[in-house]
Amino acid sequence: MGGARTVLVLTDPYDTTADYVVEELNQRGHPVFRCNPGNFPARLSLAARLGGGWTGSLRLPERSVALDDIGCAYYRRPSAFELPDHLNDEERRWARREASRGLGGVLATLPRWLNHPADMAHAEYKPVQLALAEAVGLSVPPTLITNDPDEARSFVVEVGSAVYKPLAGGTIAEEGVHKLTYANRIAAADIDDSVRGTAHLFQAWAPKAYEVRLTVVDHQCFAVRIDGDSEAAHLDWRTDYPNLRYAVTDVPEPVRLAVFRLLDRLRLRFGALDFVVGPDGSWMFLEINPNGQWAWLQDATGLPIAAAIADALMKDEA
Amino acid sequence: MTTDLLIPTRANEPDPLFDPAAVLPLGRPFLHDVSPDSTPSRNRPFGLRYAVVPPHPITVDLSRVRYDAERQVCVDPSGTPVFGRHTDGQTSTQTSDGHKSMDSDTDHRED
Repeated sequence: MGGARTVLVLTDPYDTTADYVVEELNQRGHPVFRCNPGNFPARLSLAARLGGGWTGSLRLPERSVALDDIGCAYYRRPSAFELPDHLNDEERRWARREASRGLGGVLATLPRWLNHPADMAHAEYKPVQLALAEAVGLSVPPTLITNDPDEARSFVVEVGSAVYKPLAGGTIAEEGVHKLTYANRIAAADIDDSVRGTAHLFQAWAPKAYEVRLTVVDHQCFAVRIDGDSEAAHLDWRTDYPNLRYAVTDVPEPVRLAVFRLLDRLRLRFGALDFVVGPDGSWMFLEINPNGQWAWLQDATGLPIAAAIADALMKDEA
Repeated sequence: MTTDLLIPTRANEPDPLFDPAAVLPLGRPFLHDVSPDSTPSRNRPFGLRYAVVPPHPITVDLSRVRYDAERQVCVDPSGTPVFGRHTDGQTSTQTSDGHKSMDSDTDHRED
C-alpha cells in the first residue's frame, strides 16, 4: 500500500452535510468510501476474518474498501437497517440486532474516528455534558431534572424565569406529521401532574444579548454569532431560521480553553456547542451537539468548516 | 426426565438505561414514515405539550435529487451537487411517493 488511507463515511445518501466533506476530499484526490450502514445487508456486504485484527472488506455493488485500508471513519447519520420484507417483526428484530452487533462490532474496532459513536452516545446525555461543562469551568444555568411537579414548581419560583427543554429531543410522529420540541419559557403555574409522566429538564432562563454556535474540529474554533430578529428566534433560534442573522465572532480565551477541556473529557474531536452571550458579555453554556449540523453556517459565513473536517479525517493519527 | 429451558423474554430487550447498541448505535431512523393513526393521548408527559410542527422546514424533493454513486454526493437531474439545500438540521424530505420525514439537529441529534 503506502498511499493515502481511505476515509470511511457512514451516513444516509441524502445527508448533504456529509456531501460537503466528501466533495472536499474528492477535490483533494483523497480516497473515500461512503456507505449507509442502513443498506446492510441489502446493498452493503461485509466479510471480516479474524487474524491479527479484523481483515476483509466492506462492499457495495459499485466499490469496495479493505478494512485495513480505512484511515479514519466519519460517523454522520446512518439510517435504520433495511431488512427483507418477508421477515416478520420478531425475525426483523433479531436480524437487526445481529446486524448491529456484527457490522457494528467490526466497525467499532476501527482505530480512528471523527467522532467515535460510543463517545457521541455518551456525550448525548445532557446530564453528563452539563456536569462536565460545569467541571471544566464553563458557566451553566441552574438546572433541574425531575419527574416531581412540586420540585419543578419550586425550582421555577426560585430562579424566577425558566425554560423547559427536552433531554433527548428528536421527533414525535402523530396525526400524520412530525413534531419537534424546542426550548419553551414556562411559569410555575404551567406545571402540573403531567410532569410525573417522565424525566423533564428545567433550566433558569439566561439573559440573552445573542447566541453563539461554536463548531470545534480538532481544537480549531469556528464561532458564529446568531441574532434572532423575531420573538421565537430570540427564545430558540432553531424555531425560526428565516429570521436569523449570522456573523463570525471571537471566543474569549477562558471559554475557548474550557471548551477544549470539555471536548477532551468527552473524547470528542468534533462538537457543535451552543452558548448564550448575556448583555454583560458573559458566555453561558447551553449544550454540546456531538454530531451537530454546521454546513448552513459555512454557507452563511464562509467559514471553512468542511475543509477543517477533511483535514481531521486525513490526519495520520488521531 | 426433561428440563425445560427457560428463556426470559427480557433477554431480547435492550437494557433500559444502558443499551449496548449505543456503543455503536447504527441504524438510527433517518427516513421513516409518519404513522397517520397516532393521536395524542389525554395524559401525556408535560414536555409533549410543547411539541410542534417545525415552522420552516426546507423541503427536498427526492424525485429531483439522486445519489451519484461515483461522486458519492447528492446531485440534481443535471448532475450538479445540491450543497446547502437542506443543511440546517430540520429537513422535510418529500419522497416521490409522498411520504414525509424529518431529521433533527438534536437527533443525536440534532442537533
